[in-house]
Amino acid sequence: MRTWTRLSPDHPLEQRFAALRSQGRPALVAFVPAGDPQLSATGELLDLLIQSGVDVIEVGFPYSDPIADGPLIQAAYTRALSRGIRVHEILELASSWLSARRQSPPSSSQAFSKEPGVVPGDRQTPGPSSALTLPARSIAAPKPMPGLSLRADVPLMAMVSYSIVYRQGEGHFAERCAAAGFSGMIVPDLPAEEAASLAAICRQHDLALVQLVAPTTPWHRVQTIVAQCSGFVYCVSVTGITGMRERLPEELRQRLETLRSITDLPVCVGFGISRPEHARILKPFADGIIVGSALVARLAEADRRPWEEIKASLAELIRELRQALDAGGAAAETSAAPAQQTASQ
Amino acid sequence: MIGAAQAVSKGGRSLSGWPDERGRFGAFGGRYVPETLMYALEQLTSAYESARTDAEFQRELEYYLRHYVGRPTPLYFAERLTRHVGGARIFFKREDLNHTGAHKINNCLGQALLTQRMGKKRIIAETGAGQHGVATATAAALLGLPCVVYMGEEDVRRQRLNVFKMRLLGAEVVAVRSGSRTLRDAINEALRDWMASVETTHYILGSVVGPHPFPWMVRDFQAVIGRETRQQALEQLGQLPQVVVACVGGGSNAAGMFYPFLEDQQVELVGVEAGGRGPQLGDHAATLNCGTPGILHGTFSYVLQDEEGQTADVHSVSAGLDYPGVGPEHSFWKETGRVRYTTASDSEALEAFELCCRLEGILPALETAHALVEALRIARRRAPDEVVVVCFSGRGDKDCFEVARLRGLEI
Repeated sequence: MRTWTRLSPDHPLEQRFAALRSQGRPALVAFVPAGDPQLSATGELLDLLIQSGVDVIEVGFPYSDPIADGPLIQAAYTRALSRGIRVHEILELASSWLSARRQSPPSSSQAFSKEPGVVPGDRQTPGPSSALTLPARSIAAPKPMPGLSLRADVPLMAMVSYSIVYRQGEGHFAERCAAAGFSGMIVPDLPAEEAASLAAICRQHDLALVQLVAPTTPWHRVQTIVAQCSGFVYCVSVTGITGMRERLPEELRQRLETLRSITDLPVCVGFGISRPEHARILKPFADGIIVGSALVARLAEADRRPWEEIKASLAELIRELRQALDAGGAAAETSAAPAQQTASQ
Repeated sequence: MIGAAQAVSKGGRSLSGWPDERGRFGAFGGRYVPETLMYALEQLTSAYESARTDAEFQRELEYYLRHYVGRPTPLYFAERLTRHVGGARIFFKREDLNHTGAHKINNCLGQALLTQRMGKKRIIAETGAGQHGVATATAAALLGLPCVVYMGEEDVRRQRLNVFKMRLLGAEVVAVRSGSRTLRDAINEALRDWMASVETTHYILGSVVGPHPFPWMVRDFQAVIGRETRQQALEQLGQLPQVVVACVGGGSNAAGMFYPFLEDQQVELVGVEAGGRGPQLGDHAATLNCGTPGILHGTFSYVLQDEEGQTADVHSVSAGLDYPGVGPEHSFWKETGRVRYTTASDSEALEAFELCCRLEGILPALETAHALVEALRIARRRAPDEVVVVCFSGRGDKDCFEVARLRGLEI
């Protein structure tokens, strides 16, 4: 409850999760490493992901020593860095992608917008007023900063190492992220103990600062972490690094239930999610799933497979995950129609 | 935001009273790691806290240091080198005479015993040139613990002898093919292993770097060097040395040597970084001399980065100094002015290496040769009644191939 109040009511993440909740659909969050195979491709991928049914996109800022990431993501970062990618280019890409989208919203499978019912492209919006009613607890939200108007209906999150944030300066980096239209950041190597000052800066800019909870996190730490968190809670599914896995651990379900009992923030599960069956298993217990390495593995084939083919396989994976999330009885009856439409695209 | 200016000692804490409970040395240090590792680091911190004050643990460590490693190591008067220079008397603290040929074993034994104490069943480590890998594999063999050593693919190729030694000792050596394929990627990979295996595995980090409690714990295990040196100087010479010199890569031998002298304000402490082949980023590993405060491998300290925050490539003729970061306590000592940090170039180090071989009959490690360069510079302008101690961190057998290659020879 306390944590919902930290972002403004019209923050893209708040809007998106509120709408999804009212429809009984879990969020599909996708991770894309910026600049792999090249920066222009990242823009194309953002379009493709949205059109295939993704709700929130994490844009990975390549870093030379990403200790929280697995070999697939590190290899993607190494490829992007060897082509000389720069932080400002990623920010510019986000900002131009968002403003292009704002000016002419592409036909999207998504049914939500920042401003209730005003975006003409969103013909699938099922009863906008009910879908976008905000929880009454959204009080004491900070005033949006100028420049936030850049934000479109798609929440873009910066996934970035603290090494980069520190080097740029916390305040400077947050300001540039907000100006570019990012909705928030995930800084996986910044534990709650060290996050106080960045969290305060993010609040000033109405940026979410997502915190991670790991399987090894004891409960006394979970409380501290969740209290610092905004946007959503990133629940790490397995002990270890990102990568594709065969099965999801049994104890995860119990952890998710407990986590949801202590916070009103949406809880999204990441690490090791690569298949529709993962989505189906997790759906009743999570507010969202995060897919990363499975996408990156496909991007890694860019040097030996036609780009169009890679894009098609990415779109197929996203659609399958979307379908798995939306199918079945767990979704509220009212959302059945848009869910099916999404799945069919 | 961390301000480097806060580094100057605050709250009346003495120089040797760090780290604080947050793992900070002034502003430096801390923990910048994924949440998955936080619990393991908390566990390790409390295990180490109880071990360091446990007489039984300390007795056991002392036993192995004496009977297995061969401590105390001598404080040796380098007479011919002293005469050659014609100034202050030069002494070597002979860490090269330790079992496995360097100071690394002091830390490995301490952490391996701690692994047993924590009830963990497996050891992992990173290694650059292979010295820390060999020392870890040695301690693991001694205590009967399975051991995996991560080593950059480039280093595996360059240091085949050490790879073979580690395998003889029963360790598994994993060649790391990611990123730059050198020490920093070996650390990344070891951290990744640890994230997935933390319940049963201890990671023996080889230097005073990484997240809290590593910089603190490794310094303490290496502080035996400085304690012995201090005592030997008083017994053999009836005085403390005027100057103590040590090389600094990550900085473990220097931290262990300097720490017991911190409160002896009259003792000048000098750290020597790898100047490589020049001052341009990428040509050296002089992190404290040329770097800026930043985050690398879970700690806040000086780092060599580009202006974007990407870790820079580094170069040194000495594989053990070839690291783009440095221990956070060294950053603190730099900021407080207690330790002076300087550099020695590749060619200066090679010259000192050869001089030491011929005049003293001792092959220094190329890392150690960097410290020798500065010791010679200082001794030259000091009076004969003054004493300069060099931390003779390791022996040079491992460097013979590289030195021969640089001379255009094949051996």
